[in-house]
Amino acid sequence: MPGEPGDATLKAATASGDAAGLATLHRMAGDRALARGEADAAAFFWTQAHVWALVAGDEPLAEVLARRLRKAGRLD
Amino acid sequence: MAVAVERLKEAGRVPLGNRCYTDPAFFEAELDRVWGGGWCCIGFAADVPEPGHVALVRLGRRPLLLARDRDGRLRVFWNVCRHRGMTLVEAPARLKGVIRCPYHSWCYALDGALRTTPHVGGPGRSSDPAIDRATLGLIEARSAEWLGCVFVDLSGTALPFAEHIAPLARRWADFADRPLFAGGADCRFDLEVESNWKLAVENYCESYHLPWVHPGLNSYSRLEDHYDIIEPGCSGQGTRAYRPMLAADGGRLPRFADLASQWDEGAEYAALYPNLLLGVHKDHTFALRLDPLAVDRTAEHVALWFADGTALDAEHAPLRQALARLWREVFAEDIGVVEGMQRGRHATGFDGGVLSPAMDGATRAFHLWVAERYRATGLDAG
Repeated sequence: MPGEPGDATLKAATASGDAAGLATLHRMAGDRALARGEADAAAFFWTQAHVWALVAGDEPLAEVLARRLRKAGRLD
Repeated sequence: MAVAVERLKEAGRVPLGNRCYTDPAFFEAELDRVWGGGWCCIGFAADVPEPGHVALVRLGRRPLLLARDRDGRLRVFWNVCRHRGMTLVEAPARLKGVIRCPYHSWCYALDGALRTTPHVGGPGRSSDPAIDRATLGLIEARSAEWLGCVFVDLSGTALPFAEHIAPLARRWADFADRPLFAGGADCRFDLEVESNWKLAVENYCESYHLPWVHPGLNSYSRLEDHYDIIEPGCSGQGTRAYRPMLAADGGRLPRFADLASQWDEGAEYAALYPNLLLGVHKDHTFALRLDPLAVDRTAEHVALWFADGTALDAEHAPLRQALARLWREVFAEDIGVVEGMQRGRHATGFDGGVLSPAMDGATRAFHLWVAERYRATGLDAG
């Protein structure tokens, strides 16, 4: 799917435990999906990004993503 | 069993038959009922020194995790995700954020709260009416810290820890009511013995074996200077003459301030049942935590603490290391006899043995405690 993080990039970020990098990769993929009008794909990537932001201890980013997901009815 | 306890009290005989030391099924039941039925030590506070640190600990095969939360509070949780029971922490780490389950990425804050459940309601949906995050935090075990050690009560029904520890805390108020400074890596070591955990406790309790097994102690901690310590929930030995020479030039580690005079040349060693072997001295304390790996295999984790931060500096490194070597040597000397007693427990003609009223009182106190725990929890030691 266009806009998805590449497998190699994802594998490398996962292998290195780069949670902040994974959060960024997935947030950007979500943003691109939204720009294409693919709401479900955007929610999927933002959900992934939310997890990695929490793991990275990036609470501001986690809160931004949580707000987006709540607004989309994806998170209580 | 009540009869056996009475018999032990009256005649010094041992109610713990060979099966208590050799039967794997008995060992598992013992972990559940004796260890899991009250307070036991599962780690050292220094294993999670700063907020964000997590460490895996086990009680037998039971997985637990230590976590130092963002407020600096040490907590103990069952090391399992509430979703599928996956273990969460497999190695010590310092986390920047949450604890993430590696299976489906349910995430927990260090205070145990369940932060998110990604895709739980379908792809891109982190909520589901059937999943109430507020009730699905990590399962926290009742825990306490004392003398640098971490204790849990997995039953949740034991006496409050302050009551549990009160007899030894009163006895050692000079040490327990002040900050201790954990030694670094050069003051930690691990040993492993091929024996049941109880034999390690029994050996630690008594001084009878010292001249034979620890001949080096004869020069500075003689048998005749020792006395028994018997308190509720713990027993051991003390010495009125602890005078080790760590450095040829007479160098010494900083001493605890304002100690009572008994500690000028005295030291005490007590087994806090079931599994913590403690020692206190004018310039350091130590703890040896018994970790029951199998009915006939026990890990020993040793850590030392000091009187103040200057003991941890480079100037004192040779003395710290000499002290750690000394204790490692002493504990290693015990391995042969503890393992020998374990092998002896396979002698079907052996009936548990007898105890010397003069020399085995502290061991007898431990046997009485164990026998009482068996009786109270319906564990048949016959």
